[in-house]
Amino acid sequence: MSAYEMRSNFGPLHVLTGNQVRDALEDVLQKFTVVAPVMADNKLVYDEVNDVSDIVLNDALPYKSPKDVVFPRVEDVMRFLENRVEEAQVIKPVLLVGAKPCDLAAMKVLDEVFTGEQGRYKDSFYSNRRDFLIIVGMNCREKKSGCFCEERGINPAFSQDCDGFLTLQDDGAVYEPLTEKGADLFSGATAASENSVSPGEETLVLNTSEAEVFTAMPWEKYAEGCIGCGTCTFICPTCHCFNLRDSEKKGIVTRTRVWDSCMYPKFTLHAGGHNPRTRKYERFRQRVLHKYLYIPENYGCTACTGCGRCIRSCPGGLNIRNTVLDIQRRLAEKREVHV
Amino acid sequence: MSVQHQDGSRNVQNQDEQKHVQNPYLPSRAVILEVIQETKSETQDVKTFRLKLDAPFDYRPGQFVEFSVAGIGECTFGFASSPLIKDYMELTVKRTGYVTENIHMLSEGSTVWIRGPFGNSFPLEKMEGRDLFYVTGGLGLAPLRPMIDYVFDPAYRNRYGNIKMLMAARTPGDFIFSYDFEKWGKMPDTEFYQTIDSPAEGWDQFVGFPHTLIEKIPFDLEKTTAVLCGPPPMIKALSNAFVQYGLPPERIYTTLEMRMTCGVGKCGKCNIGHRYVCIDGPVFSMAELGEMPSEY
Amino acid sequence: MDYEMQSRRLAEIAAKLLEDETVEAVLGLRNNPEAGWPTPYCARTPQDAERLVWNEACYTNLAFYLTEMRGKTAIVAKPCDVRSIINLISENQLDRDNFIIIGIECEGKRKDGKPAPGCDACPSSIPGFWDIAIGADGSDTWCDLPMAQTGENVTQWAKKSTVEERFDRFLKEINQCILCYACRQACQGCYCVSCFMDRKATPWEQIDADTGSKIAFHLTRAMHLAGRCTDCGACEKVCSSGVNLKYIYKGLSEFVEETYGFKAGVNPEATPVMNRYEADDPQVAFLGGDCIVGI
Repeated sequence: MSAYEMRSNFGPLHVLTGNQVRDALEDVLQKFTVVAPVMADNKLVYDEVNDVSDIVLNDALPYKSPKDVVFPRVEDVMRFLENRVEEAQVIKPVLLVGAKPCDLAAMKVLDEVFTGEQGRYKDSFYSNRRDFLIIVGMNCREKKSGCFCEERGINPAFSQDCDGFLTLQDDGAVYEPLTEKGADLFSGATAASENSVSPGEETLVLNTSEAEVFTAMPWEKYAEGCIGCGTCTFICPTCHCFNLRDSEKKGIVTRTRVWDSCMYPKFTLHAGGHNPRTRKYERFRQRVLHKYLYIPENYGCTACTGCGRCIRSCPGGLNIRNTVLDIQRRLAEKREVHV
Repeated sequence: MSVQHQDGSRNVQNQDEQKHVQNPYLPSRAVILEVIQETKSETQDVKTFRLKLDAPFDYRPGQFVEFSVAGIGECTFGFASSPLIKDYMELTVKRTGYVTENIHMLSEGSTVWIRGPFGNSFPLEKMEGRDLFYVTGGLGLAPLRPMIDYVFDPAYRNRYGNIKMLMAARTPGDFIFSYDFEKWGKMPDTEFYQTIDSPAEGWDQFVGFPHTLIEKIPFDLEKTTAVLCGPPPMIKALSNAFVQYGLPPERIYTTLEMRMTCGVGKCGKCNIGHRYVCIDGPVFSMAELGEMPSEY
Repeated sequence: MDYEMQSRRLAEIAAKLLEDETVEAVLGLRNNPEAGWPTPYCARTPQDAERLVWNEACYTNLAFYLTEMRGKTAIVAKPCDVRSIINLISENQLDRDNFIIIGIECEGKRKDGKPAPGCDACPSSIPGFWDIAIGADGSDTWCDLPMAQTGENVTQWAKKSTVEERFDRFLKEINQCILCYACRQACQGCYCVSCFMDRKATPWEQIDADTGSKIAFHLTRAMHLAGRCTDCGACEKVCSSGVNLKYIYKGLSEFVEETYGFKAGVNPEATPVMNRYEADDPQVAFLGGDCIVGI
C-alpha cells in the first residue's frame, strides 16, 4: 500500500490559488487560535496571529521553533488553595500553520518524551495542549547556512507528521489533508496526489555507547567557544528541560513551569553546593549526548532535527553538526584500527 | 495509562493516587504532626518532620517524594520512616538552601504539600536470605532508615541473615536518629558500629572514614549484600574498598542524590548518561553505576 | 582599511609565535560560514594560524576568553578588546605575563549591514595597549584613522528627557528580554563565579521572566558595571532578542567619568573607581544626590 493510498481517506489534494489560501486562513482565524510565522523585530517567528495579513507563508525557516505552542516558556501548573491545589486548565484549540518539516520532526520527539510509553509518566499539560492542537505543515525551500535536516533523514519538501500539509508553489499552494482533523481546513480544486516523497536516510547519528565517547572525545576543544548563554537551548525545537517555580501575587501562590537550560551551571547545582557538572565542556557534552545518545537510547529517536538554529545563533560559533561528525570520524578511525 | 515501574514498585492505590497518575505535578496536602530536632551544631542543623497526609499512600524503602512549601518551592527527600507505619511518614531535612531554610521554620500544624512516591526502591525481595551490611555517612542514614526498620520488623526479620551496621558522622553530636541506636544495637544477629572522623573526648567507638574500617568488621563475602548511603565522595571510596575486598559490584547498592525538579523523568536535571535518577534510580547497584558516566 | 594585508600579516605573526613556541595558542576568529559570521577560534599549530581571519564582521570581543586560557596565549585584539583587557588587568583577573596582545587597527565593525553595537562611539582606531601592532594597512605602524563617533550622548539625552521618557525607553527595551543572561555571559565585566541572579539563598532568578525580575536583573547588572563597562557592545551583539541596553551602561560610564574622573579600560595601573575612596568624593551618587544617568 503506498503512502498516498493510506492517506487518501482524508480526501484528495486541494489546489489553491494565492487568494484561496488567504480566504482559507481568514476562515480558520474565525474558528481557532492561529499560530503562524509572523515578523517580529525583523525576525520571522511563530506567534499568535490576529490578522491574516500578518501571516508570512514563505520559504524562510522561522528564527525560533514553534515548541512554545505545546510547551510554553512559562505556564501555570496550579494554584495553592487552603486545603487543596487547583490544577491549571489548558484547553484551547490551537491551529499551527506553516510548521516546517524539521519543526514537525521535533514535535514528534517532544511527543515521545512527554507522552510516550517509554517515558513511563505522561505529562498532562503537554498532552492536553497536544490533543487540542491541529498542525498544518509547510514545505521548506530555503536551505539556510547551518541547515542539515537531510542528514537527519528529514525531507524539507514534505512531512507526514502533521494533520495537513501545504506545499507552496510559485502561484498558490497545494493542500494535502493527512488526518481527520486536517480534512476540511483548506479547499480548492481537487486533484489526485502524486506519489509521496519518502524521507531520506539518517546519516548523522551516533551508534555508540556512553563509555566510548564520554571521556575519549576532545570535549574541551569542542566547547572552547561556549560562553554559557544558553541561547542554543532556548531556540532549539527539541530542548525540553524545565524548572518549577512558585510565585505569589496578591496572596495567591501559583506554581509555574519555566524553561531551564542544561547550559547553566546552576542547572545541576545541589543545595549542599556539590555540582556534578561544573565545567562548560561538561555541559556542552550533556547537550550533545542527550540529543544524540541518551534520547535515542531511551526513546528510539535522535533529538536533533538539523534545523541549524543553534549553529546560526551561537555567539561562540559552536557547531553540533561538526561535533557529531568529528565524533563519527574518530569512532570510525578507532574501529578501523581495531579491525 | 500505565505508570507502573519496571520493577512493579508503584501501586495505584485509591482515587487520589489515580489523580497523581493523571497529573504528576499536583501535590496533596499534609500536616506537620511533630518536628524533631535531630542535630544542631555550627555546621549541621537537621530536623525530622513527621507528617500526616490527607491522602496516604504506600511506598517502598528507597523511594522519595517532592516536598513543597507553598510560595517557597519544592525539594526532593527520601522517606525517612518505615513504610510499615501507616499513621504518619517522616522526612529528614538538613538546612542548606533557600527551601530547606524555610522548611526549618515550619512548626507543628503547618500545611505542606507532598508529591510522590517516585523512583525505584531497594531490591528487598532479591536480598532475602542474605546477610546485610549497611554503611551510612551523616544524613545518608535517613533514606536507609525505611529499609532498616522494615528488615527489623518481626514479620520480615527471619527473611534476612545477619546484619552489620556501620554508621558514620563527623562528630559524636552529628548522628541523626541516635534515639534508635540502642534499639537497633539490641536486635538479634545484629552488629552495630559507629565511627566519627577524628578522635573526640569520651568516644570509645571507631574513629576514621568508613572505607578504612570495613576490614575491621568481619563479614561473609559470599552471603553479604552491602547497602551504602552518604555523600558522593564517601560512596566512591567505600564502594572501591568493598570491591577490592572481594564483594562483587552487583551486590553493592547505593542511592544517589541529584538536583531534581519533576521527579517523573521529564525536566532533565537528574540525567546521568541515558538514566534519570528520578525514574531509573535513586537506587543503583555499583555494577549499574559503573556503566554510567560518573557525573554525580 | 586593508583587510587582506592585515589578515596576511596576522597569519604570519600567529604562525611565527606558534612555531617559536612563544605562545601555546593564538586566540582569534575564524570564518564560519554555517554560523554566518566569524566566530572565536583558538589556533594551536602554525597550520591553524592560516584559519585566522580579520574582516569587517569580526566584532566579537575576545577578552572574556582570555580569562579561561591556560598556558601562554596571544590574543588578536582590536581597541575595544584591549579596553576590556585593561579593565580585567586592573581588576586582577588577568596576569599580564601570561599573554601577548596582537593589537590590530580597527575603524569599526559591521553586523547585519549596520555598524556593530559600540562601534559608532569608538574613540580611536588604535588599541590603547599592545605588544605587536598590525596597522590599518597591514604594516607595523598605526594609521590613526578618523573615527565617525556618531554614537549617542546618553548624558545629554538623559538630562533633556523626563523621567517617564527614560523609564519608557528602558521598559521598551527589556520588554523583549527573555532573561537568558547571554549579555552577562558575554560581558568582560561579568566574571563573578556566582552571579547575584544565580544565588540560591534569594530567589532573584526568573520566576516567570516578568518585568520585575527583568528590572532587578538589568538595573543591578548596570550598577555593577558602573565605571567598569568598556563600551565594547558585546552585550548587544550576542542578544538574540534585540535588547539594546548599552546606553544605560554608557550613561553610567559617562557619569563616573564626569564625577570621579575615571574611565574604564584606559590605564591598567589605575585603581578601579569602585575600589578607592576619598573623603572628598562627590556625593551626588548617594541617596538624595541629584544624578540622572539614563534611567
